[in-house]
Amino acid sequence: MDLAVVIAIQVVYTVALLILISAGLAIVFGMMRVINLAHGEFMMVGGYATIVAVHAGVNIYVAMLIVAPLVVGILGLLVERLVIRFLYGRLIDTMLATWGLSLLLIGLATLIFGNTTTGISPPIAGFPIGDYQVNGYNLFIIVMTAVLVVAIYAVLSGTRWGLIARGTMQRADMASALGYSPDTVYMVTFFAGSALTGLAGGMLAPLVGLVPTAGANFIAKAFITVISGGASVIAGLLSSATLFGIVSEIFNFSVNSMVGEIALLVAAVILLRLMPQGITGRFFKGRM
Amino acid sequence: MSSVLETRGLAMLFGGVTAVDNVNFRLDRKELRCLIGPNGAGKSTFFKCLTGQLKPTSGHIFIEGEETTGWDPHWIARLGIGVKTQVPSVMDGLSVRENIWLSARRTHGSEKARHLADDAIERLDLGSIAKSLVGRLSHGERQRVELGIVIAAEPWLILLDEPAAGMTADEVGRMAEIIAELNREAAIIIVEHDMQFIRSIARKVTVFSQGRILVEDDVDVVMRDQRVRDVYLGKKA
Amino acid sequence: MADSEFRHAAIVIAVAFVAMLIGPSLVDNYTLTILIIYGMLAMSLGLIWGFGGILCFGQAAFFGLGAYAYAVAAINIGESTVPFLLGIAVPFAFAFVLGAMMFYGRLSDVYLGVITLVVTLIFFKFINSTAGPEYVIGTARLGGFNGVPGFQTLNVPGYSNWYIYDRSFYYFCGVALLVVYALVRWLLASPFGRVAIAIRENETRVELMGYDVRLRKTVLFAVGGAIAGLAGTLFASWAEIVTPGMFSLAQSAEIIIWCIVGGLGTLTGPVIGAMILAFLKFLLGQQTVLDSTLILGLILVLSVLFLPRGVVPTIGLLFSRRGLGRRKRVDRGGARRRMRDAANV
Repeated sequence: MDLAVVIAIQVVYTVALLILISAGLAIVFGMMRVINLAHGEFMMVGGYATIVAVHAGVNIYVAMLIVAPLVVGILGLLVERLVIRFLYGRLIDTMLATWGLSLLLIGLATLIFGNTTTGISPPIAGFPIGDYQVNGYNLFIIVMTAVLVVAIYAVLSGTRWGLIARGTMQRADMASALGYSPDTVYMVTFFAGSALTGLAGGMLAPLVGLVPTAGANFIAKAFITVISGGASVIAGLLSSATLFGIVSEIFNFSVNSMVGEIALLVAAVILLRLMPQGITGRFFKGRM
Repeated sequence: MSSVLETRGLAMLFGGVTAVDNVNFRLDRKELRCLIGPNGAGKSTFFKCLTGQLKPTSGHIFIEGEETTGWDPHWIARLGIGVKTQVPSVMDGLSVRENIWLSARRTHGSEKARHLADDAIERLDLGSIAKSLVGRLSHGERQRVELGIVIAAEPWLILLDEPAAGMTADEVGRMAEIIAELNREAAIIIVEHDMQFIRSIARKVTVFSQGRILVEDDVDVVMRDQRVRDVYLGKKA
Repeated sequence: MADSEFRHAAIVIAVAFVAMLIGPSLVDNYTLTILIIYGMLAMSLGLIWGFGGILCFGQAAFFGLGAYAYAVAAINIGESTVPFLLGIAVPFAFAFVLGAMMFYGRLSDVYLGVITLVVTLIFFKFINSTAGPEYVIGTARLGGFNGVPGFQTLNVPGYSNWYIYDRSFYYFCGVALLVVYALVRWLLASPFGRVAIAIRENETRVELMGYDVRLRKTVLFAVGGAIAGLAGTLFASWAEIVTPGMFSLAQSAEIIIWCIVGGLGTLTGPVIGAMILAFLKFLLGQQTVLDSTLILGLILVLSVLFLPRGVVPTIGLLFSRRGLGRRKRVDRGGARRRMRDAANV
């Protein structure tokens, strides 16, 4: 019984983690059709921002929930203005440019922080369930992710800004005819996506030893979660994260974590092979 | 007389929308048939089911008695069927001659393919631009290049989707002549909007409306049909 | 048309041959050899991307696969001829299977990118995790992140004591590159190559002509895999060790950067791009102030933004006024074209 609860928590945690690391990418790809291959490095920057702030004496919750999103949001704003806005509608070129950006950020981080691992410890202690020890911080991540999903949904469907943004993504010409500047909407959306990514990076900072190349661990997972998810930002994210989370945890428990990781990647390849139309079909035909 | 192309109960659904609904269609050898109908009547979807670009949801397609339902486009093309798409589908980065040569080259050796390409270029009066890149040609010229691609493969059944669209009056006239000439050797199906053009070439016409065949008759009969006027102009209440 | 292409190829080969003979008087053999190997690796992607319109984010997978196939076989067999052939055949076969899976599934560009990237990552993670003694193939241990060292390097076929190394290995690689270049030129001039280019231009039309697009793309992809595998095989003999780093995303990115900077739609462009950038990286490696990753990233961003054609085609345009605007810009992906097609459904 205790074991079942622990496993259940572990699976939910894996799913939540996938959602958390993919949310920013999903917003940017789902709404702007921009694939940001520097997504992992944005998280890495969020992580460093949190660690630096904590070392400077800032409260850890302030550091990861406010400082990290702000820093990465501003970074995203810069990137959008300097690079991405020239490449709208050129999906492949955007991927290539942001890939360059990811290398650039790795190089910069190496320059500043060196090639060593840094980290901070989780602010929440663990607690026991029966004979098993449960990591308290994992529960915090689950709760925060749930709050985040609800918040994204509320903003997109319930607010005026969400409506304008969704309208602009569908018909930029109509939105501008109605008096909304697509340029501004893209900018704000990219800022929001980047800030979310920074938030994820900040929240993961206590969990991982941070190195400048840490982003590579996230980008592939986030990338396939988002792409497999499909047209709807929220539903797509939830469904593919759940699927991949469960698959990887099954192999994680029955073999080892390495096989779990590989199983996740293989599952993605199979999924994309089986449903090539299901997702892109809607993406690129339905409402371009 | 045996039909060379036949569909039975052909239907195509997109999500909840029925684009083609239970269509039974027959085409005779060397027949020239026009498909007309208002926008969204299902002509182009029907057309794409025939060429293999779309897989029908249900129903059957037979070409010369052989069932081709769900075949890939290249298998259908290999039966000897030439297809001209709505927007000229040509290779922009290659020359006119290369475009047409590639089409003939699939079934013939290089030498024979060159002859067939030269032949098609002459028939379509493309000689002066044979070496130009297709991407730099006008719309009308591109339409002719695509027709050249179709002709060079020596098809016995030709499917043309709006061959006269976006052409000047002169070009439309010449297109009608070319089609009449092609029809001596091949059966042809034409999807078209331009009523003038249809009058100038057609004998039998099939009218689509809301995914179904509304009428199928001689062009003059169809033009006088009240139902056809209704679907085109909207019914008076 | 064919005559001028033949003349062009002959000139390129003659110039490259002379450059190969002059090279050693300017730079040491060891560095020159790796530049040639990277040039070949770049050509493998330049072929499938620039002429076939297939953007592979995981060309490094075939590079690494070729190197590991060679290393493992060389440890088991000793004499290098069979391992050398396996170093080409294994990536060819793997690329063929992977390509068939992707192209017969009619995956679009984005998915192609995702799957090739993910497959590379699987290799990277798997090979990295094989440090334990249970991971052996024959007598060769995979060695995890430590890589596989201590295998037989290239020898004269049949004489396992006559190693091809240093100056002679350099000439061997140089001639191999020229032979591969000539073969690829020939392939592109053949009907197969013309159809491949036609597919890049308009897949639907080629299909409506009756060509089997999926098979042709698969074959082209596999040929690209074989060339990358050959580059990996040569790399193994050059480095005398193979490591999981060969499968890394950074390696894949680098190959793409070589192609973009050198210029898509040409064969010489990617090769020259690779040689210049790899040499630049080598020079940057001599100093410690600036990280080479940072510079490479900057080059990639800037060339996407400001150098849509790449260096070689741009220079070609500057030199031939006649050619101004004649060569159409090669779309880096079919994405835009496909969106346009989709809009017309």
